Amino acid sequence: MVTQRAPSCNDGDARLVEQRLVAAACRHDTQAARQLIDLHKQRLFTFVRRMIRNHHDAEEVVQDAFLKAFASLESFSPEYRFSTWLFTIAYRLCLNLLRKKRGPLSAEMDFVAERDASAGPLAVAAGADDSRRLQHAVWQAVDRLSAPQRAAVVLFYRHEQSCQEIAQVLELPVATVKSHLHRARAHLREFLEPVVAQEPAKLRILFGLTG
Amino acid sequence: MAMNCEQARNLFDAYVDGELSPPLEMEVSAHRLACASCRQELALLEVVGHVMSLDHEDAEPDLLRPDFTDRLLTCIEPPGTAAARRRSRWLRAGGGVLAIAASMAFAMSLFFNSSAPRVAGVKATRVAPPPAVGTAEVTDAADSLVRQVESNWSRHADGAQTVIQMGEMTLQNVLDRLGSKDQPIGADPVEPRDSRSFDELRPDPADDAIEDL
Repeated sequence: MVTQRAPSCNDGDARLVEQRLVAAACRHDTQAARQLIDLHKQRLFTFVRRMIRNHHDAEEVVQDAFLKAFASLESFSPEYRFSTWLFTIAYRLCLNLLRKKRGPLSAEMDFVAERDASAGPLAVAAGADDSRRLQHAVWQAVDRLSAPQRAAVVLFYRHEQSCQEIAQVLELPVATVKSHLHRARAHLREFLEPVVAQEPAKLRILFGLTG
Repeated sequence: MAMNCEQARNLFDAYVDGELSPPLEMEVSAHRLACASCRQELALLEVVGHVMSLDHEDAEPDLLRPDFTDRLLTCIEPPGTAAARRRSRWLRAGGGVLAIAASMAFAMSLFFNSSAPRVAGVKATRVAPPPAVGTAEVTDAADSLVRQVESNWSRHADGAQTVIQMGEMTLQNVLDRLGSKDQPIGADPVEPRDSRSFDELRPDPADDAIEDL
């Protein structure tokens, strides 16, 4: 599978809608502010949740990101996307929180395996759903990446952002973003080879991959 | 010439990201078909990417609370409010500091200038409260006088000299009403002292002799 990142007509329309909502929110339009929040809150939370790995902390970061964004809305330049700006603020807040904690990632994470083990029919166990086991393994491997590498792969794969957009969010050059992606993939291969190397064909069938 | 594994691996990222030119993409695809090891690596990369794009951590995706937006809107201030509030806070703080400084300067000028408060360049005599002379009535009158002078002083700075003189005159009137300044009220008059000595005062026996008839 080859990942494409070409802009589409829908992106242009979405950007126009976003600009109108931002302009209205600047004029104290509460409905516009509500729409802006609802448009981005879950995507932002998904990203922050992958960075912070703690539900409560992630929710606080998302709230703080919106508060900071709205506090500076009048100075926001329409040449940039509001969503990119929002993700940038959230990413900075994630880094600050991770630096404050400075503990091993596992100490701060919600233990997905433990939650699954207590979830009855959703338990991850030997002989259980292969795809779910693989998903669990993949995300555990992602959690072991450094913050910039983790942000790069999550934004690239999960949020389908281009390297240019990721560079804006992470406030890094595009070449650095590509370097992070390259190293992240190398690490993920290293972490996951024992899990998937034996049955790549089966996994490709599981996920409907062709080629 | 067919691509080798090292050349192919250098292009895996770009291949997975769709950034290769069509000819190069074809070469990598051809190598992939021919090499099991590279095929496995590429498959892993694609599977990992696919898993992350799906992002199903478990059957119940992690979601924000339903009232998240409502709660957030109550915290969001209208744009520009934070900046205006900061400006207002600075102005209030600055004004407060100035007010405190002015009050302190005024209080210190009153406190330290104890000998002769000056008004319009004229040295004035400080009005002291009258000495205690023993009666509550006079004391009350003196206190009232002091209060009156202080009130006039604060209200009529330009005419302070006149006020002070009036205060002195009024004080003098009070003292004159009390009578002699040297005589305390209620004391008995003092008899003039006899300056003769004891010997001079001893009685003379000749004064007691009987006269001849």
